[in-house]
Amino acid sequence: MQFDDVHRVEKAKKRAIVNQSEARNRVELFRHLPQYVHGTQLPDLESKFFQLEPIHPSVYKVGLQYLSGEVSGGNGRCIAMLLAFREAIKDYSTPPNKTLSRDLTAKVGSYVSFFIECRPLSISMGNAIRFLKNRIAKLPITLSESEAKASLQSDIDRFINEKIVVADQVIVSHAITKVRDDDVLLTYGSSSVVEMILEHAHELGRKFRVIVVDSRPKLEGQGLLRRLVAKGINCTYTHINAVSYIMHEVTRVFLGASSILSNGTVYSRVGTASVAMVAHAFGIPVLVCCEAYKFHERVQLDSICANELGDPDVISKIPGRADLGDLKNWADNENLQLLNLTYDATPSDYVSMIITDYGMLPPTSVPVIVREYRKEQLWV
Amino acid sequence: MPDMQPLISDFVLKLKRRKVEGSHAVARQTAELLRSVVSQHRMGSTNQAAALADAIHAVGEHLIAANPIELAVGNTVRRVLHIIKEEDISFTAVGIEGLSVTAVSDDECDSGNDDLPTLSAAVLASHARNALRAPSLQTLLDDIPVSTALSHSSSSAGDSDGKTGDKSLKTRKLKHDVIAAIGDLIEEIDTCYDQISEQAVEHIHQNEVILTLGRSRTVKEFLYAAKEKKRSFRVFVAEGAPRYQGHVLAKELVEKGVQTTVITDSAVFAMISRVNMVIVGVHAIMANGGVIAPVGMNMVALAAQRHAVPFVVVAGSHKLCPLYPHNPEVLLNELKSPSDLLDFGEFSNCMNFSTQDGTPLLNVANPTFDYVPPKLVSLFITDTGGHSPSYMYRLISEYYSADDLVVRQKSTS
Amino acid sequence: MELDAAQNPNPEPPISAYYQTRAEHHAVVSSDWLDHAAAAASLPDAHADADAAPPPSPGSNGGGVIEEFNFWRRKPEAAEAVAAIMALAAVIRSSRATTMMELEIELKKASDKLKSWDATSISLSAACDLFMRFVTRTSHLEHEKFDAAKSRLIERGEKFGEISLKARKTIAMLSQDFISDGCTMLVHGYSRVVLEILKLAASNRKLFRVLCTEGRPDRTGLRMSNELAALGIPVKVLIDSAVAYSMDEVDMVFVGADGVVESGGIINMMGTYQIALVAHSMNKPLYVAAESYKFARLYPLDQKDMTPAHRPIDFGVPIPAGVEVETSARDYTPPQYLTLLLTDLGVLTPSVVSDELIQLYL
Repeated sequence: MQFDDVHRVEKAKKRAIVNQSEARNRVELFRHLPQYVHGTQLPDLESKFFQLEPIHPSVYKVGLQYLSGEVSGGNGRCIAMLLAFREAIKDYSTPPNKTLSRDLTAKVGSYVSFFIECRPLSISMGNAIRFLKNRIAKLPITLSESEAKASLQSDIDRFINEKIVVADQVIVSHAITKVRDDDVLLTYGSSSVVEMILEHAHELGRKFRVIVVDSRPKLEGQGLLRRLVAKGINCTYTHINAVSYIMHEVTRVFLGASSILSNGTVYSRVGTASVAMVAHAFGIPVLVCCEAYKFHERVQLDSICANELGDPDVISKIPGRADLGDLKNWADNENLQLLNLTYDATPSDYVSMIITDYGMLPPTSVPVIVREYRKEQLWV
Repeated sequence: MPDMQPLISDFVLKLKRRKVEGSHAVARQTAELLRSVVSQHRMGSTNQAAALADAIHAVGEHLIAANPIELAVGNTVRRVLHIIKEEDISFTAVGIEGLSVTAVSDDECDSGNDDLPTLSAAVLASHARNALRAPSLQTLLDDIPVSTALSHSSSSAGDSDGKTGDKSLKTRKLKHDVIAAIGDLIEEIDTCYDQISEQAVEHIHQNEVILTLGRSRTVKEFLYAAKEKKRSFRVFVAEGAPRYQGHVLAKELVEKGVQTTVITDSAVFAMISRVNMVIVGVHAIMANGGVIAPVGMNMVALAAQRHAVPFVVVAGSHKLCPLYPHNPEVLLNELKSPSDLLDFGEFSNCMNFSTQDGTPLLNVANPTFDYVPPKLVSLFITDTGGHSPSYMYRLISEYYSADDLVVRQKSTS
Repeated sequence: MELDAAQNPNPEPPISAYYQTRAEHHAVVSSDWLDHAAAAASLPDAHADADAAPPPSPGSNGGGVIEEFNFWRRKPEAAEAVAAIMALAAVIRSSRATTMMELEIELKKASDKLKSWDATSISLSAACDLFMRFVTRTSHLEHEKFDAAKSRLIERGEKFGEISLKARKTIAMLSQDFISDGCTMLVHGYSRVVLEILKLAASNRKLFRVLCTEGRPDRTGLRMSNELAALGIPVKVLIDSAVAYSMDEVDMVFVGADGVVESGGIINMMGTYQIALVAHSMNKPLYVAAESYKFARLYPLDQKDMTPAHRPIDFGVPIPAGVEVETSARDYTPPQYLTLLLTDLGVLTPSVVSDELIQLYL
């Protein structure tokens, strides 16, 4: 939706379940994106839970987890959503005078719009929803309600297993061939599949060192750092500004991705593009690890047309640094805006290799994967 | 000069403990200290300039060693040494000229042919002037070796003093000139902001979108000046973790009514495609046109290059360093406390792990500076105007003498 | 020109005289070097002759310059520029001119003759130009007696050998800061200056490793590696085509130069351009070690925009009939691929070269 179109925004507001408050001090360039609204609508949502009968409790719970940031990461959010749908389908019964496929599709649609209100969908979630709707639409009419529900539930299980769990295992087995002894591996933020690669390489007894590069405001790298050190992996922690300083020692850069777009652009946690750019400038290979279900046929050149805005307030607050309070009342000054971007787009020429469940590919082969993936029966 | 010692050691201590930081403060205080060193210096009867230079050398060596990262210390010491040489030479030339004028008739052009003193004076002066400059192709075949020219000239200055007789007057004159020149230098350091920001309107157009990282006083003054000239523009400020000076700059800009957006450092690449110009301040400009800048700057410069956005460096000439960056990432950097990045209270349970050889499993890198190579810099705006990186060598040869480049090694040997 | 061509050992250009000097000074295992060595051995009297009496030719016609130059350029330690300036100094010595003007005209003729005798050598013409400028400056600046000026010119000219050696020492000293412990550097072919740098670094007890290109077809790199190995420096020889393969283990590239041109670019033995391109694309610094008397007022726009220097190439096997052979001995590397120039004037960015030349010739 275009959020700079006043009429549409008004209409959407009337429909909204979550109470939208006006965001202040919007950044001009990003008026077209949904503005982040502060998390104070939690109690609001809770009070509405009892009035809004159609939302399944498990869906509601996951929505709240999105809102609070408790569940994050491409795979984590996607799995949580699918499991919620699975629960909802289990408890579903077709109302009288309605057909299952029509009604369930509408139901899933309303759940999805609820999720969107909690947090904009990731591309991987969009792909999973598309898959589910497809399965519902393609249900043979001959099936009884319980058979249909069982079939859908097993489809969801299969999707999670094949497209995420097994896919990750395949990616790890490919990536491990690119880790040599005495390597210095750099990773940015916290990617679940990269973490698996590092842990597996460590289990295999490879001797390597990891550099965890992190950035404000999420500081997701600290969690990764803690887990890796606990496993006994030698780690160096630094922030994204120091990436040029640290890049001299690095031999490989492993990055995760939220999505890979058809022109080879890697859409990922903001800062990924900078890390890839510096690595490229130093001639260090950049390996992007991404499951094929996150690929999308969309194309994008910059990080502005499509993005997600995070909470601007976290930029003004620096945990543990009470001495820095320069931006405390930032919202009071109309000349000052804080911008908290969530994603950026890494141009494909910074990427040496994309590791997917289909093998190790050059970025130019992304449209091939998108094409072949759609051909697969799962998508039909 | 025993009475200077406490002042010097006090300043050395301040530098060591990083109580004085930032090139402007450091340069200014160094210049002030050296001025008092000069004024306390007892002038000998011969070779005063060399003795004075030696005194400065000795002090400068201490100061540089106290904090080698603050290149402005070395720059100022070299500037003062250069000033002494310049004053000495103009002094010598004046002295000799005066001598020849009194000795011979007024018409020096014609009589010069058979007058030996005038000739040698002219030659000497030209050689002395050459000695101030780096050796050049022009002087390659000349027979007076560059290094001896100076001592030659200054000893002759002593001679001429002896002849004229008013020794004390001349001595005081040289010292006075040097002190005055250092005063000019201090003023130059102080007014560099005005000189630089005067040029702001030439570079910032209406509706410009500017990106900067961290906070630099020079950048602030530059943007203020443009705002005062009624230019309306928009600034993206990257916060510059882990020092977050960008927040301070944003606050200051907003107070003047500049449209300001604070972004995280990670969003620089995402935003740079909509930026018209990157304006940053730096820590030091090296002789090859590369810069030592706050950490993260190389990333910004690379992103700017990718999107063909001009990368403009504003800096006063006291940041001009005549050294070449050898291995800049390691030698010209300083690692700050890891606690800026990690809360060790939270990570205390990770600290126990260590490998067999005793090295810790968890390291934290928190460097202060980045080196940006000259090919990534589009323009330098200094108090003497705009320059391209390939021309920095020239400014350096104007400000410093070639044989002062290594202050430390020379005085230890 | 036609008359001089008769004196040129190789009237038709397949082998340039400039290349011959190089071959005599640098070549190690090429067959033509062996030939030269054999020729030199079989003609001992010719050399002894030259040694005993440097060409007298008091008439100071052009022939004398070239003989003198040829005499000097056979000395292994003398750079071509030194030979040229020595030859010009000899011209002054034997000159019968009585005024500065006459002397200048005479010198100009001699230097033109020398330059046209071997148009391929850049350092020869650069040295001639440099000396001529010095003569002009001396006569303008100092109102000395003609005899005094003349003897000063001769003295300075003859000191040039020392200046050249001193320049090499200065460069070696300046470059020490660039060599850090544990670094790996790549050198291309044999260069006296680069060797001097590495020698000094080794004597300063720096620990470093050198990759040396083979330098086909003269295999000058073999001589270089031989000398480095004798100094106890770890050295590895690469075939010329392995440069890109090895570049990722290299920290910096050192090359010499035959000439440094107005743009700040360099003309150097074949393969330098290739190495510079590889180093540039992999972000490795490339340092050029060159004495300042090699700065020349030339401005090649591309590879073909300079007088080609040809050299014979021994492929080891007969070349198939009807196949042409590229015999150029050197290439031009534009300034954007050079990081810094290490010269006796100091460490310079390529942009300084033009500054120096403008100041010299203005």
